[in-house]
Amino acid sequence: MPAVRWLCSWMVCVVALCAAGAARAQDPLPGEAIELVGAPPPPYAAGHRWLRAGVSEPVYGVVESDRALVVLKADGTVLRGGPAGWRVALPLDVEAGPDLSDEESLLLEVEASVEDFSDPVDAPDDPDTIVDVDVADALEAGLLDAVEWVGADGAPLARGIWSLPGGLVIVSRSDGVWSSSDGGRSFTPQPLLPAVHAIAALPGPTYIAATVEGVRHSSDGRFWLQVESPLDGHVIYDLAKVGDAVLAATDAGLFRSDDGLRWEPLEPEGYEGQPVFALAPDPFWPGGAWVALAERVVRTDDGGLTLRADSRVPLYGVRSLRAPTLPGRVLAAGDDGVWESADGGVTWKPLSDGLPGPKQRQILLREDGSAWLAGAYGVWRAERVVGPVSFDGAAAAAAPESLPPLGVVVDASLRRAGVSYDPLLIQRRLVRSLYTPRVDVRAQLQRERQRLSNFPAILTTDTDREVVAYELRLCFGRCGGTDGQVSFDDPDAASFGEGDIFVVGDEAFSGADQGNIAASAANVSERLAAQRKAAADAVSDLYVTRIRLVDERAGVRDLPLRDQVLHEIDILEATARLDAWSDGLFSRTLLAGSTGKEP
Amino acid sequence: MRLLPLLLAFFGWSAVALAGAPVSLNRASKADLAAIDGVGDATAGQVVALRASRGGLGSVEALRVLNLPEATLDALRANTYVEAAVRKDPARAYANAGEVLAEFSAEPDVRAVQAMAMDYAKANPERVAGWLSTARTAFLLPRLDLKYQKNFDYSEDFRYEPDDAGDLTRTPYSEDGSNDDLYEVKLQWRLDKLVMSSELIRVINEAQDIVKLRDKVLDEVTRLYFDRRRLQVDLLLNPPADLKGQLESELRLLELTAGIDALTGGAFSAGLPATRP
Repeated sequence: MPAVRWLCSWMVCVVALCAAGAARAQDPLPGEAIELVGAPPPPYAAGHRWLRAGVSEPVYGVVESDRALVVLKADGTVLRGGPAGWRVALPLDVEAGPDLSDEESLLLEVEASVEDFSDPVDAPDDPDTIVDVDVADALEAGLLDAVEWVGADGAPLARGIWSLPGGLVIVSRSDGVWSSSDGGRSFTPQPLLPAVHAIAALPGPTYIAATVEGVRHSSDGRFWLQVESPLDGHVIYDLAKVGDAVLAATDAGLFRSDDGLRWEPLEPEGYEGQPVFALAPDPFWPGGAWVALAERVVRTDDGGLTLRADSRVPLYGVRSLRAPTLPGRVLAAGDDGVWESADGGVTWKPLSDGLPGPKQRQILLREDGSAWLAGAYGVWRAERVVGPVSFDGAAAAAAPESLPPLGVVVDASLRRAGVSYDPLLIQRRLVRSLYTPRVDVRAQLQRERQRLSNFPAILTTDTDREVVAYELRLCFGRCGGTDGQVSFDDPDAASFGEGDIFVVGDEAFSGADQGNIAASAANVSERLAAQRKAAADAVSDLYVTRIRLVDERAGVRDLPLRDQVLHEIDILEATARLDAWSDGLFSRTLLAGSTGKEP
Repeated sequence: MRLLPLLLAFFGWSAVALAGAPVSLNRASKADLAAIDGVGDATAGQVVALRASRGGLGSVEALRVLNLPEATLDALRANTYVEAAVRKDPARAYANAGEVLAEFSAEPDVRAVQAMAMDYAKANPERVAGWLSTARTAFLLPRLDLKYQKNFDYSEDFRYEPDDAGDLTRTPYSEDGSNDDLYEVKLQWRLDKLVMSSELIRVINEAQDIVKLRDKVLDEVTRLYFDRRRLQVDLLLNPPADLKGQLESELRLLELTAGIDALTGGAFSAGLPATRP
């Protein structure tokens, strides 16, 4: 039936052309910027959830550089890598840093409530009391859901991380600004650049940095020149290239510049002087952008000259806006969690499935289209949900390979020599040892020979005597003291004098603790417990990451061969790391599953 | 596989090495190497032999297999350089990722590299387990005290009496001597220490540090291994078009190889195919 087939194919073409035409007719965006090929991917909010990406401490930001993620943690440490493993690229205590004292005074303003405090003694009487705690205390007390990214004086902290073209990564932290020219692998200080709030890259290339001391301008990202502008004295929250101009979001509203050198304030009607916190250029509309105000996300179509509130839904405390290269899509993250709009900002849906709390700071959209999140709860990745999400049993069972259960791998990591001691077991054994005796067996032979002479009586007496003694002694607890000629001393008691100090692990004990090993056992137990928890966390993260990577295999088959190979290497690396944690059990189980032999 | 060696310009091209000038680790003669302060004839001979067996050396770190003192390695680091070579691999079509990864099948796999790193750091699990086992069972043996005591005592009594002339004369009255021997054997079993002891706790403490070291070493060597593999794949499938980019990639490859060698005591390079430094 070639005629029917020909007719059908023509009908399909006509329907397709009509649909495309209708789409173009309804689309308010410039037609030449849109390529309608197939159905657009669904919004993140429809079928995605957030999964932890291996960093669970608070972070200021995450960027992509040279195919890897680079993360700035709240304690100033910079990590490079990905869910398969992170490496410290810039530690906190670098000697070259000009001043670390600020880090000590870094305070997070915490809205504490009574139940947040583990120790009731520290709890304020009024649940709404604002208290200041330092970072470490905040982490320990589990107050992450109330973290505000402001300094002790209430001003926003100039902390962040930015990825610029050419592998350039810039980090602003408490001890100054650091830059990397190798994709975040190594960093050097940038003494010419004050603490940075935002950086934007313009064609040229030209870089503009919004610092605590005003705007800086650079042509290579290394040497920065000061630019006098009306922005001086204002807090600049964000910079973005919108159309042909660059916009600055400040606490005094929007500012505009064509070259990054000359700036002018914008006064859109109805929004004059309102603080602006984040910007997201619309990749499909030159001059179009979404603008985050204190309580709402609004829209501009003309480079900030006018602003329009398309949505009646308020969005509070937005700190990061990102627009994927999909028409009408925009993501917002901040104090109120993560939200997504698929219709240009008219309606918003929460995108918070899987997140432990709302306080977020930055969204990253990677080149592969994946969405990443940085905030008070670490780094997260939006994962596509396929059916019910379960990473401990169902997904493993569904996987084609013979995956050992997560519990088995975690157990193997805890059975490794050196971490296999159950901390409680140490304490239990310690108590049991107090009821276990010391056994002393003594055998003594004494030969006495004596001669006694008395000359007047011409009498000599010789005495020859042998004395054999046996002793069996059981001793509980501390067994000091002497018994006749035999000394039953306690070697532990002899080890330390009263005034001596001895160190076990990270703790020091006085000689008064001599013979009492409870203190050192408690210290070792504490370290051991932390080590076992770290091992279990790492294995769990790696296990989930590997399942995800294996699950994504089918999806990367359409990508270029290089991406397929790199994806396989990611799986191999996750496997190797799991093997390192489990002394090879993970691979042995996989191998046994494929060969049918016991591992 | 064809290699076009490109000497790094800053090391100079002069055929006659100036006194104190760095020499090529791969082209220097035994005499050149022996002339380096702190190297000597024997070491130079070892380096030349290793170089010949491998077809080239990627870095001084590869010499760690010779168990050279750190001072000698430092001297070699300060006085030698390695040429970067740009490879011109013939274009080849690959059907899938497996074929690409099979290109590197002659190299040590990651598990072997992890084992090498643990051996070199002396952080094998067996070593830690051995310590713990020894600490646990050491108290099965008793503490043995052997004692021998010799007591010798001798005393004489004299009597002083006047003689006929009225002078005092000394006359033995009695003597008392003793010669005692004491033998003692004492065995002490600390059964309480078989259950738990301060020594065992200290060993557990040390074992924790070893495990930390092991985790750190394994993390680093795994990262370096796969960073290197990704770079190799890039060089194979997507080589830089310009000479500068090619050189940078090759230098990065040498750097990653040297990093792995530093963690494995040069065993990684020893396991690489001989034609590739």
